Amino acid sequence: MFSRTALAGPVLLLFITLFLAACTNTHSQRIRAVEQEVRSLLQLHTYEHVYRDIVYFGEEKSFLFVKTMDRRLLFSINIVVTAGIDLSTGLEIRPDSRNPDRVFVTLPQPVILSVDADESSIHQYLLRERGGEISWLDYADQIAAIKQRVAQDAVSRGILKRAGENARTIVTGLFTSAGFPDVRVAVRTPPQPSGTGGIDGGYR
Amino acid sequence: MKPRSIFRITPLVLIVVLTVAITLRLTGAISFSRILSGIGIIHTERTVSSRIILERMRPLFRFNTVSYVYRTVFPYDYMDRDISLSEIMNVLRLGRGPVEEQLSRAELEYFQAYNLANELGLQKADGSYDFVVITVTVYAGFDVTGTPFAPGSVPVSGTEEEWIQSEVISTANGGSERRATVRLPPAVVTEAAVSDTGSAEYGYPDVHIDPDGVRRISDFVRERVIGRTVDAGLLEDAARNGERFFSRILHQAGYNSVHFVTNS
Repeated sequence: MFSRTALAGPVLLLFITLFLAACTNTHSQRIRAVEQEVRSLLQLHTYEHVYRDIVYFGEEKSFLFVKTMDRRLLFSINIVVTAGIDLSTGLEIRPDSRNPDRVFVTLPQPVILSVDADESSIHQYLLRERGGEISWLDYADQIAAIKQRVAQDAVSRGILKRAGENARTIVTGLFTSAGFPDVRVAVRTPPQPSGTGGIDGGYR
Repeated sequence: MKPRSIFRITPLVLIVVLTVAITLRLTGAISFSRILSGIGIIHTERTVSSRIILERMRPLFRFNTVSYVYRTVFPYDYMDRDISLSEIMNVLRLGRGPVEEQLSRAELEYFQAYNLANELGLQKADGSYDFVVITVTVYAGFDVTGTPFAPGSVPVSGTEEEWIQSEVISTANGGSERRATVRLPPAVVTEAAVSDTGSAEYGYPDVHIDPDGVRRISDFVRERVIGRTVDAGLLEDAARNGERFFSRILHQAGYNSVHFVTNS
Protein backbone atom coordinates (compact mmCIF):
# COMPACT_ATOMS: atom_id res chain seq x y z
CA MET A 1 0.00 0.00 0.00
CA PHE A 2 2.84 2.38 0.80
CA SER A 3 6.59 2.01 0.62
CA ARG A 4 8.82 1.17 3.57
CA THR A 5 10.95 4.24 3.01
CA ALA A 6 7.87 6.46 3.21
CA LEU A 7 7.08 4.98 6.63
CA ALA A 8 10.57 4.87 8.03
CA GLY A 9 10.83 8.58 8.84
CA PRO A 10 7.52 8.97 10.71
CA VAL A 11 7.97 5.69 12.58
CA LEU A 12 11.45 6.73 13.70
CA LEU A 13 10.05 10.11 14.74
CA LEU A 14 7.32 8.35 16.72
CA PHE A 15 9.80 6.17 18.60
CA ILE A 16 12.14 9.08 19.35
CA THR A 17 9.22 11.13 20.65
CA LEU A 18 7.97 8.29 22.83
CA PHE A 19 11.47 7.66 24.14
CA LEU A 20 12.04 11.33 25.01
CA ALA A 21 8.61 11.66 26.55
CA ALA A 22 9.18 8.56 28.64
CA CYS A 23 12.51 9.90 29.81
CA THR A 24 11.07 13.21 30.92
CA ASN A 25 8.38 11.42 32.91
CA THR A 26 10.71 9.02 34.63
CA HIS A 27 9.97 9.36 38.30
CA SER A 28 13.22 9.46 40.13
CA GLN A 29 13.00 10.12 43.79
CA ARG A 30 15.81 9.94 46.21
CA ILE A 31 14.83 9.35 49.77
CA ARG A 32 16.40 12.00 51.84
CA ALA A 33 18.45 10.82 54.74
CA VAL A 34 16.68 10.82 58.04
CA GLU A 35 16.86 14.34 59.31
CA GLN A 36 16.87 15.53 62.83
CA GLU A 37 16.68 19.09 63.91
CA VAL A 38 16.85 20.43 67.44
CA ARG A 39 15.14 23.71 68.23
CA SER A 40 15.30 25.60 71.50
CA LEU A 41 11.89 26.85 72.55
CA LEU A 42 10.37 28.88 75.32
CA GLN A 43 6.70 28.21 74.71
CA LEU A 44 4.17 28.33 77.48
CA HIS A 45 1.12 26.37 76.30
CA THR A 46 -1.78 27.65 78.33
CA TYR A 47 -5.04 26.73 76.59
CA GLU A 48 -6.32 23.94 74.39
CA HIS A 49 -9.35 23.33 72.19
CA VAL A 50 -10.02 19.82 70.94
CA TYR A 51 -12.16 19.52 67.81
CA ARG A 52 -13.63 16.42 66.29
CA ASP A 53 -13.56 16.59 62.52
CA ILE A 54 -15.84 14.29 60.53
CA VAL A 55 -14.51 14.01 57.00
CA TYR A 56 -16.29 12.58 53.98
CA PHE A 57 -14.46 12.08 50.73
CA GLY A 58 -16.12 10.62 47.66
CA GLU A 59 -15.11 10.34 44.04
CA GLU A 60 -17.05 8.71 41.22
CA LYS A 61 -16.02 8.31 37.61
CA SER A 62 -18.04 6.92 34.74
CA PHE A 63 -17.32 6.22 31.11
CA LEU A 64 -20.29 6.20 28.75
CA PHE A 65 -22.62 5.99 31.77
CA VAL A 66 -20.80 2.93 33.13
CA LYS A 67 -19.30 3.51 36.57
CA THR A 68 -15.54 2.92 36.43
CA MET A 69 -14.53 4.19 39.86
CA ASP A 70 -16.26 4.62 43.18
CA ARG A 71 -14.16 5.72 46.14
CA ARG A 72 -15.80 6.70 49.39
CA LEU A 73 -14.34 7.38 52.76
CA LEU A 74 -15.87 8.56 56.01
CA PHE A 75 -13.71 9.00 59.07
CA SER A 76 -13.34 11.17 62.14
CA ILE A 77 -10.24 12.60 63.73
CA ASN A 78 -9.46 14.95 66.59
CA ILE A 79 -7.70 18.21 65.83
CA VAL A 80 -5.98 19.84 68.80
CA VAL A 81 -5.40 23.58 68.85
CA THR A 82 -3.12 24.96 71.55
CA ALA A 83 -2.51 28.60 72.33
CA GLY A 84 -0.14 30.31 74.66
CA ILE A 85 2.79 32.66 74.67
CA ASP A 86 6.22 32.48 73.14
CA LEU A 87 8.57 33.71 75.83
CA SER A 88 11.58 33.88 73.54
CA THR A 89 10.65 37.40 72.43
CA GLY A 90 8.79 40.23 74.08
CA LEU A 91 9.06 39.14 77.72
CA GLU A 92 9.95 42.05 80.01
CA ILE A 93 10.66 41.80 83.74
CA ARG A 94 11.16 44.99 85.70
CA PRO A 95 11.64 45.03 89.49
CA ASP A 96 10.18 48.05 91.25
CA SER A 97 13.15 50.07 92.50
CA ARG A 98 11.01 51.65 95.25
CA ASN A 99 9.40 48.43 96.45
CA PRO A 100 11.56 45.25 96.57
CA ASP A 101 8.41 43.11 96.99
CA ARG A 102 6.96 44.25 93.66
CA VAL A 103 7.83 43.17 90.12
CA PHE A 104 6.31 44.21 86.80
CA VAL A 105 6.09 41.56 84.08
CA THR A 106 5.00 42.19 80.51
CA LEU A 107 4.09 39.08 78.51
CA PRO A 108 4.11 38.73 74.75
CA GLN A 109 0.73 38.53 73.03
CA PRO A 110 -0.89 35.08 73.04
CA VAL A 111 -0.71 33.18 69.77
CA ILE A 112 -1.82 29.87 68.34
CA LEU A 113 1.19 27.65 69.03
CA SER A 114 0.07 24.48 67.29
CA VAL A 115 -2.73 22.91 65.29
CA ASP A 116 -2.22 19.16 65.16
CA ALA A 117 -4.26 16.25 63.97
CA ASP A 118 -4.24 13.47 66.55
CA GLU A 119 -3.81 10.41 64.35
CA SER A 120 -4.32 8.05 67.27
CA SER A 121 -7.93 9.30 67.45
CA ILE A 122 -8.80 8.29 63.87
CA HIS A 123 -12.02 6.33 63.61
CA GLN A 124 -12.87 4.95 60.20
CA TYR A 125 -16.60 4.54 59.55
CA LEU A 126 -16.76 3.74 55.86
CA LEU A 127 -14.29 2.75 53.19
CA ARG A 128 -15.20 1.79 49.65
CA GLU A 129 -12.55 1.34 46.99
CA ARG A 130 -13.91 0.22 43.62
CA GLY A 131 -11.73 1.05 40.66
CA GLY A 132 -9.51 3.28 42.75
CA GLU A 133 -7.74 3.31 46.06
CA ILE A 134 -7.59 5.76 48.94
CA SER A 135 -4.03 6.90 49.45
CA TRP A 136 -1.82 8.46 52.10
CA LEU A 137 -1.99 11.82 50.31
CA ASP A 138 -5.78 11.70 49.90
CA TYR A 139 -5.94 11.56 53.68
CA ALA A 140 -3.18 14.16 54.24
CA ASP A 141 -4.80 16.67 51.88
CA GLN A 142 -8.12 16.44 53.72
CA ILE A 143 -6.42 17.11 57.05
CA ALA A 144 -4.19 19.90 55.77
CA ALA A 145 -7.24 21.64 54.31
CA ILE A 146 -9.12 21.69 57.59
CA LYS A 147 -6.42 23.02 59.90
CA GLN A 148 -6.73 26.69 59.03
CA ARG A 149 -10.51 26.58 59.51
CA VAL A 150 -10.11 24.93 62.91
CA ALA A 151 -7.57 27.54 64.04
CA GLN A 152 -9.89 30.36 62.93
CA ASP A 153 -12.77 28.83 64.85
CA ALA A 154 -10.64 28.54 67.98
CA VAL A 155 -9.64 32.21 67.71
CA SER A 156 -13.25 33.28 67.16
CA ARG A 157 -14.24 31.37 70.31
CA GLY A 158 -11.70 33.30 72.37
CA ILE A 159 -8.84 30.85 72.80
CA LEU A 160 -6.26 33.65 72.71
CA LYS A 161 -8.00 35.61 75.45
CA ARG A 162 -8.18 32.54 77.68
CA ALA A 163 -4.58 31.63 76.89
CA GLY A 164 -3.48 35.13 77.92
CA GLU A 165 -5.42 34.94 81.18
CA ASN A 166 -3.99 31.54 82.05
CA ALA A 167 -0.47 32.71 81.20
CA ARG A 168 -1.00 35.64 83.56
CA THR A 169 -2.03 33.21 86.31
CA ILE A 170 1.01 30.97 85.78
CA VAL A 171 3.49 33.85 85.69
CA THR A 172 1.96 35.42 88.78
CA GLY A 173 2.32 32.06 90.54
CA LEU A 174 5.92 31.78 89.39
CA PHE A 175 7.02 35.15 90.73
CA THR A 176 4.96 34.82 93.91
CA SER A 177 6.72 31.54 94.50
CA ALA A 178 10.02 33.32 93.82
CA GLY A 179 9.44 35.65 96.73
CA PHE A 180 7.54 38.58 95.21
CA PRO A 181 4.26 39.08 97.07
CA ASP A 182 3.20 41.85 94.67
CA VAL A 183 3.33 40.73 91.04
CA ARG A 184 1.89 43.00 88.34
CA VAL A 185 1.45 41.21 85.02
CA ALA A 186 0.35 42.68 81.72
CA VAL A 187 -0.28 40.88 78.44
CA ARG A 188 0.51 42.56 75.13
CA THR A 189 -2.22 42.86 72.53
CA PRO A 190 -1.79 42.45 68.76
CA PRO A 191 -0.46 45.50 66.88
CA GLN A 192 -3.20 47.89 65.81
CA PRO A 193 -3.58 49.21 62.25
CA SER A 194 -2.11 52.47 63.52
CA GLY A 195 1.11 50.54 64.19
CA THR A 196 0.92 50.59 67.96
CA GLY A 197 0.53 47.55 70.15
CA GLY A 198 -1.20 47.74 73.48
CA ILE A 199 -1.41 46.11 76.87
CA ASP A 200 -4.50 44.05 77.57
CA GLY A 201 -6.13 45.45 80.70
CA GLY A 202 -2.89 46.99 82.02
CA TYR A 203 -0.78 45.63 84.89
CA ARG A 204 -2.79 43.65 87.41
CA MET B 1 -2.38 8.50 -9.89
CA LYS B 2 -4.59 10.60 -7.73
CA PRO B 3 -6.04 7.83 -5.50
CA ARG B 4 -2.58 6.35 -5.08
CA SER B 5 -1.14 9.63 -3.76
CA ILE B 6 -3.94 9.82 -1.22
CA PHE B 7 -3.05 6.34 -0.01
CA ARG B 8 0.56 7.40 0.33
CA ILE B 9 -0.22 10.55 2.27
CA THR B 10 -2.93 9.27 4.64
CA PRO B 11 -0.73 6.99 6.76
CA LEU B 12 1.86 9.71 7.04
CA VAL B 13 -0.75 12.18 8.21
CA LEU B 14 -2.15 9.67 10.65
CA ILE B 15 1.24 8.90 12.12
CA VAL B 16 2.16 12.58 12.42
CA VAL B 17 -1.18 13.37 14.08
CA LEU B 18 -0.75 10.41 16.42
CA THR B 19 2.81 11.46 17.27
CA VAL B 20 1.77 15.03 18.02
CA ALA B 21 -1.18 13.84 20.12
CA ILE B 22 0.94 11.43 22.16
CA THR B 23 3.62 14.07 22.64
CA LEU B 24 1.11 16.63 23.84
CA ARG B 25 -0.47 14.06 26.14
CA LEU B 26 2.81 12.92 27.64
CA THR B 27 4.10 16.43 28.16
CA GLY B 28 0.84 17.35 29.84
CA ALA B 29 -0.09 20.01 27.28
CA ILE B 30 -3.54 18.51 26.74
CA SER B 31 -5.76 16.26 28.80
CA PHE B 32 -7.86 13.77 26.90
CA SER B 33 -9.90 13.05 29.98
CA ARG B 34 -10.81 16.74 30.13
CA ILE B 35 -11.83 16.70 26.48
CA LEU B 36 -13.86 13.52 26.93
CA SER B 37 -15.34 14.93 30.10
CA GLY B 38 -16.27 18.10 28.25
CA ILE B 39 -18.28 16.23 25.65
CA GLY B 40 -19.93 14.05 28.30
CA ILE B 41 -18.25 10.71 27.59
CA ILE B 42 -16.39 10.69 30.90
CA HIS B 43 -18.13 11.91 34.02
CA THR B 44 -16.28 12.65 37.26
CA GLU B 45 -17.89 13.69 40.50
CA ARG B 46 -15.86 14.54 43.57
CA THR B 47 -17.38 15.31 46.96
CA VAL B 48 -15.44 16.49 49.97
CA SER B 49 -17.17 17.57 53.13
CA SER B 50 -15.93 18.18 56.61
CA ARG B 51 -17.71 19.17 59.77
CA ILE B 52 -15.85 20.29 62.85
CA ILE B 53 -17.33 20.06 66.32
CA LEU B 54 -15.72 21.59 69.39
CA GLU B 55 -15.42 18.71 71.83
CA ARG B 56 -13.68 20.29 74.81
CA MET B 57 -11.70 23.26 76.03
CA ARG B 58 -9.27 23.22 78.94
CA PRO B 59 -6.43 25.22 80.44
CA LEU B 60 -2.92 23.87 79.94
CA PHE B 61 0.14 24.24 82.14
CA ARG B 62 2.89 23.12 79.83
CA PHE B 63 6.24 24.80 79.32
CA ASN B 64 8.07 23.49 76.26
CA THR B 65 11.76 24.30 76.16
CA VAL B 66 12.96 22.15 73.28
CA SER B 67 11.67 20.36 70.21
CA TYR B 68 13.24 17.65 68.06
CA VAL B 69 11.98 17.51 64.51
CA TYR B 70 12.57 13.96 63.34
CA ARG B 71 11.97 12.73 59.81
CA THR B 72 11.62 9.03 59.42
CA VAL B 73 10.88 6.50 56.67
CA PHE B 74 8.44 3.71 57.46
CA PRO B 75 9.14 0.79 57.36
CA TYR B 76 12.82 1.01 56.31
CA ASP B 77 14.04 2.95 59.36
CA TYR B 78 12.76 0.16 61.58
CA MET B 79 14.21 -2.75 59.63
CA ASP B 80 17.91 -2.89 60.39
CA ARG B 81 19.83 -4.29 57.40
CA ASP B 82 22.04 -6.36 59.70
CA ILE B 83 19.05 -8.25 61.01
CA SER B 84 17.70 -11.26 59.18
CA LEU B 85 14.01 -12.03 59.21
CA SER B 86 14.69 -15.75 58.85
CA GLU B 87 16.85 -15.66 62.01
CA ILE B 88 14.05 -13.91 63.89
CA MET B 89 11.62 -16.57 62.71
CA ASN B 90 14.02 -19.31 63.83
CA VAL B 91 14.34 -17.77 67.27
CA LEU B 92 10.58 -17.52 67.60
CA ARG B 93 10.04 -21.05 66.31
CA LEU B 94 12.46 -22.59 68.78
CA GLY B 95 11.88 -20.31 71.74
CA ARG B 96 9.16 -20.11 74.34
CA GLY B 97 7.50 -17.21 76.09
CA PRO B 98 6.52 -13.74 74.95
CA VAL B 99 8.10 -12.35 71.79
CA GLU B 100 9.42 -9.36 73.76
CA GLU B 101 11.60 -11.66 75.86
CA GLN B 102 13.02 -13.65 72.98
CA LEU B 103 14.12 -10.82 70.71
CA SER B 104 16.48 -7.90 71.18
CA ARG B 105 15.07 -4.38 70.95
CA ALA B 106 16.21 -3.97 67.32
CA GLU B 107 14.92 -7.42 66.35
CA LEU B 108 11.57 -6.72 67.98
CA GLU B 109 11.32 -3.39 66.14
CA TYR B 110 12.15 -5.15 62.86
CA PHE B 111 9.57 -7.85 63.51
CA GLN B 112 6.84 -5.36 64.43
CA ALA B 113 7.58 -3.11 61.45
CA TYR B 114 7.60 -6.13 59.14
CA ASN B 115 4.24 -7.33 60.48
CA LEU B 116 2.63 -3.91 60.24
CA ALA B 117 3.93 -3.28 56.72
CA ASN B 118 2.58 -6.64 55.60
CA GLU B 119 -0.78 -6.20 57.26
CA LEU B 120 -1.14 -2.88 55.45
CA GLY B 121 -0.11 -4.42 52.13
CA LEU B 122 3.04 -2.37 51.69
CA GLN B 123 5.31 -5.25 50.69
CA LYS B 124 5.77 -5.60 46.94
CA ALA B 125 6.40 -8.74 44.90
CA ASP B 126 10.13 -8.06 44.64
CA GLY B 127 10.48 -7.94 48.44
CA SER B 128 10.79 -4.15 48.64
CA TYR B 129 8.23 -1.99 50.42
CA ASP B 130 6.07 0.97 49.58
CA PHE B 131 7.16 3.58 52.08
CA VAL B 132 5.94 6.72 53.78
CA VAL B 133 8.10 9.58 54.98
CA ILE B 134 6.80 10.95 58.25
CA THR B 135 7.91 13.99 60.22
CA VAL B 136 7.38 13.78 63.97
CA THR B 137 8.01 16.73 66.26
CA VAL B 138 8.72 15.74 69.85
CA TYR B 139 8.43 18.47 72.47
CA ALA B 140 9.95 18.37 75.93
CA GLY B 141 9.94 20.67 78.90
CA PHE B 142 8.05 20.93 82.14
CA ASP B 143 4.49 20.15 83.08
CA VAL B 144 3.65 22.75 85.71
CA THR B 145 0.24 21.26 86.51
CA GLY B 146 -0.27 21.21 90.24
CA THR B 147 2.71 23.42 91.01
CA PRO B 148 2.45 26.72 92.85
CA PHE B 149 2.69 28.34 89.40
CA ALA B 150 -0.62 26.89 88.38
CA PRO B 151 -3.06 27.56 91.19
CA GLY B 152 -6.29 25.66 90.83
CA SER B 153 -4.81 22.91 88.68
CA VAL B 154 -4.91 19.36 89.94
CA PRO B 155 -1.52 18.42 91.43
CA VAL B 156 0.42 15.66 89.77
CA SER B 157 2.28 13.51 92.26
CA GLY B 158 5.60 15.08 93.17
CA THR B 159 4.86 18.55 91.80
CA GLU B 160 3.54 20.04 95.04
CA GLU B 161 7.05 20.71 96.29
CA GLU B 162 8.28 24.24 96.33
CA TRP B 163 10.21 24.97 93.16
CA ILE B 164 11.88 28.20 94.19
CA GLN B 165 13.20 29.12 97.61
CA SER B 166 14.39 32.66 98.10
CA GLU B 167 16.55 34.09 100.85
CA VAL B 168 18.41 37.26 101.62
CA ILE B 169 21.98 36.60 102.72
CA SER B 170 24.53 38.96 104.20
CA THR B 171 27.65 39.62 102.21
CA ALA B 172 31.21 40.07 103.51
CA ASN B 173 31.14 43.81 102.89
CA GLY B 174 28.16 44.27 105.17
CA GLY B 175 25.55 44.40 102.44
CA SER B 176 22.94 41.84 101.45
CA GLU B 177 21.98 39.95 98.33
CA ARG B 178 18.97 38.01 97.15
CA ARG B 179 19.61 34.40 96.42
CA ALA B 180 17.25 31.86 94.80
CA THR B 181 17.51 28.12 95.00
CA VAL B 182 15.52 26.48 92.23
CA ARG B 183 14.48 22.87 92.27
CA LEU B 184 13.11 22.09 88.83
CA PRO B 185 11.14 18.88 88.35
CA PRO B 186 12.54 16.41 85.82
CA ALA B 187 12.01 17.44 82.22
CA VAL B 188 9.45 15.28 80.44
CA VAL B 189 8.22 14.67 76.92
CA THR B 190 5.20 16.94 76.79
CA GLU B 191 3.94 16.19 73.30
CA ALA B 192 4.73 14.31 70.09
CA ALA B 193 2.96 15.40 66.93
CA VAL B 194 2.99 13.82 63.50
CA SER B 195 3.10 16.51 60.81
CA ASP B 196 0.35 16.29 58.22
CA THR B 197 2.11 17.04 54.97
CA GLY B 198 -0.22 17.62 52.02
CA SER B 199 0.50 16.46 48.48
CA ALA B 200 1.90 19.88 47.53
CA GLU B 201 4.85 19.47 49.90
CA TYR B 202 5.20 15.70 50.33
CA GLY B 203 7.36 15.01 47.27
CA TYR B 204 7.50 11.20 47.52
CA PRO B 205 5.46 8.52 45.78
CA ASP B 206 1.93 8.14 47.12
CA VAL B 207 0.97 4.92 48.89
CA HIS B 208 -2.31 3.07 49.22
CA ILE B 209 -3.18 3.38 52.91
CA ASP B 210 -6.57 4.03 54.43
CA PRO B 211 -7.02 6.26 57.52
CA ASP B 212 -6.99 3.24 59.80
CA GLY B 213 -3.56 2.39 58.40
CA VAL B 214 -2.47 5.99 58.89
CA ARG B 215 -3.42 5.68 62.55
CA ARG B 216 -1.48 2.45 63.00
CA ILE B 217 1.65 3.73 61.27
CA SER B 218 1.50 7.05 63.17
CA ASP B 219 1.16 5.28 66.52
CA PHE B 220 4.03 2.93 65.68
CA VAL B 221 6.35 5.69 64.51
CA ARG B 222 5.47 8.18 67.26
CA GLU B 223 6.28 5.75 70.05
CA ARG B 224 9.66 4.81 68.56
CA VAL B 225 10.66 8.34 67.62
CA ILE B 226 10.02 9.44 71.22
CA GLY B 227 12.40 6.71 72.37
CA ARG B 228 15.05 7.70 69.84
CA THR B 229 14.91 11.42 70.67
CA VAL B 230 15.10 10.68 74.39
CA ASP B 231 18.14 8.48 73.70
CA ALA B 232 19.62 11.38 71.72
CA GLY B 233 19.44 13.69 74.75
CA LEU B 234 16.08 15.42 74.37
CA LEU B 235 15.36 15.59 78.10
CA GLU B 236 18.85 16.83 78.99
CA ASP B 237 18.47 19.64 76.43
CA ALA B 238 15.04 20.48 77.83
CA ALA B 239 16.36 20.67 81.40
CA ARG B 240 19.34 22.81 80.34
CA ASN B 241 17.14 25.27 78.44
CA GLY B 242 14.75 25.42 81.40
CA GLU B 243 17.58 26.24 83.81
CA ARG B 244 18.86 28.93 81.45
CA PHE B 245 15.41 30.51 81.26
CA PHE B 246 14.72 30.48 85.00
CA SER B 247 18.18 31.84 85.69
CA ARG B 248 17.65 34.71 83.26
CA ILE B 249 14.23 35.77 84.51
CA LEU B 250 15.20 35.56 88.18
CA HIS B 251 18.28 37.68 87.55
CA GLN B 252 16.11 40.18 85.68
CA ALA B 253 13.72 40.21 88.63
CA GLY B 254 16.52 41.31 90.92
CA TYR B 255 18.14 38.15 92.24
CA ASN B 256 21.91 38.37 92.62
CA SER B 257 22.49 34.65 92.41
CA VAL B 258 20.45 31.66 91.26
CA HIS B 259 21.35 28.07 92.14
CA PHE B 260 19.81 24.93 90.81
CA VAL B 261 19.27 21.78 92.82
CA THR B 262 18.63 18.51 91.04
CA ASN B 263 15.89 16.25 92.33
CA SER B 264 17.41 12.93 93.31
